[in-house]
Amino acid sequence: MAEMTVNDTNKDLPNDSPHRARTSSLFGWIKVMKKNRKAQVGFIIFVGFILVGILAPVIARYSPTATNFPPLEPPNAQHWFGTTGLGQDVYAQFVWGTRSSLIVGFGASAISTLFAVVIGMYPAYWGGYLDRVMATFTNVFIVIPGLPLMIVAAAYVHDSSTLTMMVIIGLTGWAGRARVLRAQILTLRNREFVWAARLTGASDRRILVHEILPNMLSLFMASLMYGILGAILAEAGLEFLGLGNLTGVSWGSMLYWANNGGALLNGAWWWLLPGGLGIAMFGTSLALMNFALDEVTNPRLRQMSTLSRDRIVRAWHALRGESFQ
Amino acid sequence: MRYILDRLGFLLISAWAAVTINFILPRLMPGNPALLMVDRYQGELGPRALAAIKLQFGITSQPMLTQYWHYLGNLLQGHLGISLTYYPVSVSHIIATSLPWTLGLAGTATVIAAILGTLLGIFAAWKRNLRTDSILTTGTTFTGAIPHQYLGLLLLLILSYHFHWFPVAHSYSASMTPQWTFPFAETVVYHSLLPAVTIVVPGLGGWLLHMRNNMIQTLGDDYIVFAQAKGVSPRGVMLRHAARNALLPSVTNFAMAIGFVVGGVLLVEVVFSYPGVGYQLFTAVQNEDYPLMQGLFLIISLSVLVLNFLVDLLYGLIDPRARRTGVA
Amino acid sequence: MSDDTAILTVDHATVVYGSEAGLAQAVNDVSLAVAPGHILGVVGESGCGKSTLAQAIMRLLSPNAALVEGRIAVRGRDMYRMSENELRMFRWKHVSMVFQSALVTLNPVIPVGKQFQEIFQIHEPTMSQVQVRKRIEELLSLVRIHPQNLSNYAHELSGGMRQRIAIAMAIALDPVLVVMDEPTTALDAVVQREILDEIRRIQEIKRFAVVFISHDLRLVSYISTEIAVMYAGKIVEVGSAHHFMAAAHHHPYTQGLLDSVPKLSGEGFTIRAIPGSPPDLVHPVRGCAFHPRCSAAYDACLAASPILRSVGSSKFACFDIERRENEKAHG
Repeated sequence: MAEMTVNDTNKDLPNDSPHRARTSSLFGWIKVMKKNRKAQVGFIIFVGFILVGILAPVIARYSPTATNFPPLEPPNAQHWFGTTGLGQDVYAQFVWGTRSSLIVGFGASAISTLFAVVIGMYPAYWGGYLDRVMATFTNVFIVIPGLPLMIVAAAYVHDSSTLTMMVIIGLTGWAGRARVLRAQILTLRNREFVWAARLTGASDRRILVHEILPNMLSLFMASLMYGILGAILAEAGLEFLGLGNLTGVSWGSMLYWANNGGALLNGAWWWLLPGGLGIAMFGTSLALMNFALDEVTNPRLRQMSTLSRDRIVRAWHALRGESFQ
Repeated sequence: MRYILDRLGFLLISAWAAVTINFILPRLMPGNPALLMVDRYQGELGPRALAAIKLQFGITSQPMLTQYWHYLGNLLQGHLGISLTYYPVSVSHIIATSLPWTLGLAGTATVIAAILGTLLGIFAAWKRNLRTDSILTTGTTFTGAIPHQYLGLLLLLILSYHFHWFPVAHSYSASMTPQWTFPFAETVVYHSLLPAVTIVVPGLGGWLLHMRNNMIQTLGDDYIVFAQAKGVSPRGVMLRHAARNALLPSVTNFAMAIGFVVGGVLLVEVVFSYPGVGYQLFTAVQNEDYPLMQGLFLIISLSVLVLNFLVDLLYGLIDPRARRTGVA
Repeated sequence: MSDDTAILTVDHATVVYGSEAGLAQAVNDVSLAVAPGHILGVVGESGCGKSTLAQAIMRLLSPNAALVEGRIAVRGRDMYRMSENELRMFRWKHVSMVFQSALVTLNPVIPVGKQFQEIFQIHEPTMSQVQVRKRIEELLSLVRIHPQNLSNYAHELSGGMRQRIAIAMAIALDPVLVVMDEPTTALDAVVQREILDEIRRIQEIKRFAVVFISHDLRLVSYISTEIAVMYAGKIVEVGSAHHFMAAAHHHPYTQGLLDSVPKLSGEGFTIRAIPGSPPDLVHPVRGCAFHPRCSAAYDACLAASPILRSVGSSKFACFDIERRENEKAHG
């Protein structure tokens, strides 16, 4: 979605000034987000999960791994989300699971975004042979299916620490976003303001840092967010196949234990429900925030949502009315 | 023609990459993990099988390059080794029995998701700015973030365990033997319904949103204005002029979508104990059956690569510009 | 050129764009009329509102723009009072358009011929396939294009060929008015001249009226019967092309346009660009929109916006010209 080119339909308004290009990055995003209800809802959910993750020790009430409660209790006053087949508190697991899932998500996304930047962006700026090789490399990694690759890698590694998980997910999930970043660099490289900077003798490093990077901030954010969502889903997948850290508590391992501990046979819906819902809700919050981002990179989407013809007519008459009265 | 050769070249490069990853991964790991496996199966395997496995996983004094040539040679002859879990059944045999299930399930589900999602995307773009669009995009955004295994488990819990409407596992009724008859086909379809839904639902959102945004982008293009000026009806503008152009990026998006689908299918097969390659991969991982794991990874990757190649050819067919210039 | 016989009448039309920065008045209280068979050239720098005017005439404004005031009528019928369906059947039959670049106005994935046929399928549904085919071939021969090109896609044709086909499509239903928005701008100089001659030749045969939009005053004066100069959404000078080039005085902006055309003098080229930057349509200046760039501006120009007044054979919106005219009349 971020691949779309910025293209104004409006021929009669000057629109390609460097200032406009620059402000349409991160601040543009924040501005659009302020007006976009979906993005606001997404942001609130997102912050909510972050808070749960940070405050886990305070709000969890019990240890997530303590097995000293009656097993398979439905939700009640003591155990808001019920208990597992082993007698663990599901609410505590959910809260602590939020923390560890977010850590893996953010960590893996940081790694994969770094890769996406180094492989997708840098060669693209200089172009030439290295860029072509890297582009092919990227395209190959896009088509090699990610989860099977992660599964095989994880099975060989035989180490399910959080860090290992992050590295495996990070190293396998960068390609799609590298391509998006590369496409953006290729268009930015030839924009007027970049040429202007080049003609005034600015160094490549200066151009990259001062001219190009500011215009890529929103894309970085998108990349990070898609990375987080992808990583959390991947982690849940690996955990579900028993390749994760099953002594730890995460949204993914909650699903694993619910499945393997007989939640289905016992009809223990409360055991199954929270883990996946956490992933789905958190993922939705990221995607909702991305709606605002799409509107920044794609003016046609923005125009569509904010500037209907009726509103223009109303606004104009309001303006005229003011100046006449 | 150049376009086809170009795509074929890419297919070969990516296939070579998948094959090479398969070779390098076990050799890259600190303390070759295959050693553990060999130790475990020491008593159960014949000396010849053991020697073959040692060779396959680089537990040998041969130089790397010789091993690599040996490995490529074996692959070309279709030798993928012998499964340890199902000893002495060969890996190729397991693949041959499990791949059709996966292709059938994943293929049908993906086509349904792509068509349904794309149609909904056109519809959402048509109703842009209206409540219908908002509900569709937000709703499928949520379903798109649901992990496949979670959705599968929920459906199982409610529809199979609670209401007993659907079977809880397997791809056909245990009382039947596979044959080309109508009752058997019926049980296959019946068993595949829940898994298929589990693959389709999370997949819809991506197609929908992609198509919707492309449509809105396309609807601002000059040839749309031209078509409107000529008097083409709104429906004609949407379907004849905009949708076909908006579809093009969706087709290229397929490469990324298919990765998501394959990952989903693996998990869904595990949830429903569906005897496809995903379920076998799960079995291989659980039993540390590295030859089987390697073979499955290879066949999954190659299937995806070939699928992508076919989609690229399709793209060349519907975009007259690509035929001559080629696409990146 | 009275309004009763005019093919096109634009009455006090104002078009506004909505953007995050605010409302931009791209067309500001514009009135004009085009008589049958006449060619009105509209000139101005990019951003002056001339393309918006063309889109407004066609009722093809982009979704973030609206005609907020005024009336635009073709053959006496108000374009903005028709229902969507009436408009669909009226447009192209009576008023059609040639766009700047046929590369982007032709659908890239549909063969050119199919797009041509579509016009007849919509407007002449009773015509048979064979009749349509014959009609298209006639039209193509008029613009000197071989029918075999119909099976091609837009990107497979040259720019000149595409534009010829676009012209043939525009006159397919014998409209009384064709709006041409920079129809030759995307072409190189030689082809530009060819297409221009083609337009003139066909116009002489078919006698449709034309609104010819361009940034190039020379081009416009070559083809037009009347010329209107636009600045900041307003018409600042309008007159018959016959008198235009030889006129005694011009609006200072028109003068600037004339001076910025390269002239071959004894010393070589002399080009004088108009100083200053294009007007801000979102935050218009008080007074005459051109005054910040005008060397003749005086206090009256800062206080109010001039309106079009007849002076000699043309009309001007300029206080300086009015003042000089008054001085001449009174002393």
